[in-house]
Amino acid sequence: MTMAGYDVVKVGTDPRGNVDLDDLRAKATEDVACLMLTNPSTLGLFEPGIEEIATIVHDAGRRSTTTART
Amino acid sequence: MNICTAQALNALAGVIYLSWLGRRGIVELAELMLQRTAYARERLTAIDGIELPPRAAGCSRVRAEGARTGAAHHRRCREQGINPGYPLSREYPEFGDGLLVAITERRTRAEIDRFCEVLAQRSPPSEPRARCERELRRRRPAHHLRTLAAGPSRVRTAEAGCAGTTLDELLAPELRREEAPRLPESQNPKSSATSTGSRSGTSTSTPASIRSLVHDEAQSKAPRAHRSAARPREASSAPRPTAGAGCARADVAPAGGAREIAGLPHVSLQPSAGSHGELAGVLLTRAYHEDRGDHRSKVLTPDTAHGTNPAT
Repeated sequence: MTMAGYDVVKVGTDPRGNVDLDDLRAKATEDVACLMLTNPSTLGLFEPGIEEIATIVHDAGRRSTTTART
Repeated sequence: MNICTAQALNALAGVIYLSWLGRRGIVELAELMLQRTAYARERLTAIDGIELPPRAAGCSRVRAEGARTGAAHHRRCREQGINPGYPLSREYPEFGDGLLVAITERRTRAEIDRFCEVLAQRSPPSEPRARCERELRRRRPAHHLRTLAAGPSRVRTAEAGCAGTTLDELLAPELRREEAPRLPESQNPKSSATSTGSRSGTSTSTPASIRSLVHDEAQSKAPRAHRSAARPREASSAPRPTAGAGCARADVAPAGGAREIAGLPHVSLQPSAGSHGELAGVLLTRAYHEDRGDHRSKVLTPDTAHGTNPAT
């Protein structure tokens, strides 16, 4: 599956329904263009780790795109 | 389709419908619903074993309480291709055998007649008729009521029309507005406001468009009846507004306000919410990386994200 020519890589969910940060760290590689997430998620939860998520993506020298409730 | 796209499309459909009706049309629509509900009340009350609660002003819903249970009425109507409303006993046992019936402008007099006819039936329909109705349902399963409007009817339309009751009887004049509601209308708002305002002087009579609508319905054959009901504006002599100018204002005005508040040189209301925004976002990301000569190949998306999922 592609978006604008990019391959979509799915990041998993932890037992509390939030983004699995370990999975995100493992997948935030150099060839990632961005992270697109919705906040609140489809589960209706506000992501408590949003700052850390942004840091993980930015620290890896990547650009994070956050979309609110789309 | 994601949730905000669906929401935006629903809102868009609503805006188009309201713009199409206009200031005068929305009042006519409300009056039409009152007239039809009154007609349905009249017909339902005449059925042995059905009682209606006292009339609530401005309410277009009818609660019918019958000797049969609401659920039984419901089942029989469904069997004959009619969606009769909601059997209240399912969730609201305090209403007993009640059936909640909604009468809107989409329900023609012929459909109301059919509904009452089925409610009043004592025995199941004869086999040739049941076969005919099954065939009609098979052809157009999504529009049960419309299908029945086109179907054979044993009881011809009653003499009393939907407009048999005057508006003053339905809703006291002091409860009705004299001025047109302040709704956006893309063109000719002056003439619409004038025509609605003058209505107070002739409030005992039915507005011309409703009269002509009901008249049209009585004149036309049953299969066409729902079409005239679906387009109340068509019966009106007022010019139909064009949509473009109003949409342009709706788009530009908030952007101007946002520009002033944020102190930015330009503000765009594009892209819209939902998948439109997601696509714009990912295309922007791609343009950014390509501009830097940075070739990326992946987009990360949490599996709990909507809108940003591959469906976008």
